[in-house]
Amino acid sequence: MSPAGGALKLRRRRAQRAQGAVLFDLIEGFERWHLWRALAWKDIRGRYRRTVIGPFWTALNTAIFVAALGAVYALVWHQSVSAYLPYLAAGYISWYLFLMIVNESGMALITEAETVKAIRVPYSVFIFRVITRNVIVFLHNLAVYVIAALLLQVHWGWNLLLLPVGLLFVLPNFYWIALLLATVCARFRDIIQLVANVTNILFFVTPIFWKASELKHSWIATLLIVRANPAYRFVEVLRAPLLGQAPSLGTYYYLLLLMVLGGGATFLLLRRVYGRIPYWL
Amino acid sequence: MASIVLDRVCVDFPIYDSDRSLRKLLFRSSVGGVVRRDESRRNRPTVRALDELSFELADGDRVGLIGQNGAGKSTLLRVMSGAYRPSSGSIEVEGTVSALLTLGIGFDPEETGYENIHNGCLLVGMSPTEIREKMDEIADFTRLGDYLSMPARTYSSGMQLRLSFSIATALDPEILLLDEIMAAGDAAFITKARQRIDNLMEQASLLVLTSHSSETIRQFCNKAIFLRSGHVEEFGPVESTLNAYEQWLAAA
Repeated sequence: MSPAGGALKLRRRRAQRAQGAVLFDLIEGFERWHLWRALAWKDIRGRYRRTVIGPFWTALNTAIFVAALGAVYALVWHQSVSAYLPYLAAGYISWYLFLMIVNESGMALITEAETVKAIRVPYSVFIFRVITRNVIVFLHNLAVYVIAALLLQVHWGWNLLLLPVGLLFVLPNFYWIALLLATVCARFRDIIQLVANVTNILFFVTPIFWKASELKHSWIATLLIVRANPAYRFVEVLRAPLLGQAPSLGTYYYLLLLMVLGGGATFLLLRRVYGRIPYWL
Repeated sequence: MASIVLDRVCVDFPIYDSDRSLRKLLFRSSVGGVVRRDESRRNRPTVRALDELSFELADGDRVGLIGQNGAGKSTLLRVMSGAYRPSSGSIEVEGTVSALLTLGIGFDPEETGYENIHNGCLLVGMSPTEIREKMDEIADFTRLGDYLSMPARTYSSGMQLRLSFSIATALDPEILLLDEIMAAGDAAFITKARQRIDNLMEQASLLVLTSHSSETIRQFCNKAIFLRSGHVEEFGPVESTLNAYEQWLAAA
């Protein structure tokens, strides 16, 4: 690109920025996928530096956790291990993706304070980075799950193809959730602790190591902690395909609605505070 | 064509972690900024770092920012880089900007020099193709040799400066912003940096740097701005502005 072309592009962009900073942040942030992909891999490298098996440590931790919990709860609920274990494993790795993105996004901008205060860079870059690094971890978990599922002879069928569809529904939701949390936590640091607290409880409240059907007898409990619970929807839309089942249509509608409402609310908030973000860091 | 036009630019920093005693503070301090209360924001204490700044910089200007600590020099550079939006007023920047304001940005001490160059270049907006083309040039300019394969935690601050400066100038920016960082460089590096900036200035270019060293200002700049408490006290040729600053220092 010629320098003049570059300047022209920059001028055009500045004009756009004045009109819709938030949307522009999303678009320009997404365009810089080389950057956030590199940052995500750098985080992974950094976390597992000088270990032999790298990100498979997370997968190994997951495997051990799931195997232990699976063995015990299969006994407690008088189920066969080969029936219960895939359910728990598929649910847990889906939950883990949700958990880590929600827990880590509060720090997404705070850790990059130096950068954000020195150069102009779309904040979305750091949002995509958090999502990407956790998707990378998810894929490692997934690899281990696939091996376990093959051993336990899970029947996937065509429903397995709904897994990428499920990701298509959760990833845009992750974007607004992470952007919202990153922004709000930059201003109100207590929220980070609060979020960790809530997700801690959500793990037990959400049907992950127990089944939603066990709440059949109470419609109000089913409504509150299954149907209305976003964590359940995030888990279910990935877990069902992993078990060779199709998620209910309601789950897709729910996530779509969440995308529109949550994304819209985040957009409205960001439009008000966008320019203030570096001052909070 | 590179230019920077400021029109009544104000920057107020809200202070969020303040206790009540700080809220009562409403004074003109001996160091730079002005602490005041922002009535539109529930009397939250704010520090006015820049106060109605208006001036224009154009091609060929190499501007040195001088002033005591807290006068607003770094904040002004951060507004020019586009990181901070003014609280009020407006700024128009034309041309590609490269800002080298802190040595730490995009810098991971555990990664090697090459990896840091790669990520640093992505951060300033280069494409992987551009990075591949420029990598040798950048690596060569740092003169770090085999150190580039070592983790960056083994670098001194001067070595880190070489790396960051090479990345910041690799794109041939039209506007280069430098914040009080040249101090870490040794004589050999300063000479090289001077040459690099001279080369950049041959094309349409604009340089703004801060320094507490009159020597650095004389070496790199043809104009100077004397900032005091967030406003321009003096803007003109280097010598007269430095004189005004030194006189003010002597009087203070």
